[in-house]
Amino acid sequence: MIANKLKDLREKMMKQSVRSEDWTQEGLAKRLGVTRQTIISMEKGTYNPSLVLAFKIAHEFGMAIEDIFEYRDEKNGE
Amino acid sequence: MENKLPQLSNRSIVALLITIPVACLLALIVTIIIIPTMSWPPDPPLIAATIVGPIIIVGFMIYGANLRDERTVQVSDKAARNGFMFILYVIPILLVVLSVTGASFETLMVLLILVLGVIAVAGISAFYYYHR
Repeated sequence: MIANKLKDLREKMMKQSVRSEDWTQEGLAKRLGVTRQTIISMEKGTYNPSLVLAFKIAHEFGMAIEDIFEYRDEKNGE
Repeated sequence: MENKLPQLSNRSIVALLITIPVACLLALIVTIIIIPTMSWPPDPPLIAATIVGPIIIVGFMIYGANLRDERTVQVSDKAARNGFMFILYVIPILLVVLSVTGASFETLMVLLILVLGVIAVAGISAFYYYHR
């Protein structure tokens, strides 16, 4: 499965940013060209984004994909 | 996937939902005036189709402009799959039931062509997307 730190990172950015509205679910969704519901589903972990969207998210946060998304092997529990 | 279409405002959505069905209804009235063989008042199913049809089209426009992203595409794919499976199971059951109750040969043929068409379209689509 793929786990992500999207919610934590977004909330952190919201606190740090001067324009906090840029980092609301709605604001982030607009910049990424997706719906707010998609952001909600990703934060809940019920939807895994495509590689393109994952790159866009990483670009928005100024981080690498692997800093946001993490692959966990269910069999080995890693 | 990027949102290429401009987002529709709530005001635009309300305007579309009112003006398009009304325009279609007016078009129906004008058609009835031009073609004298058509009955007045029009049949209720025709009026319903004239109003409901455009609303469905407007619904798809709203979906395309405001809600379409990679997740909604995935969701609509799954919904279409469920609809397809429903058709695939219900029509053969209908065929059996109708043949027992003595429905006309034409009705059975229409249903048979429909179910074979559904299977053919699914098969051809799968082949096309697999090899693309």
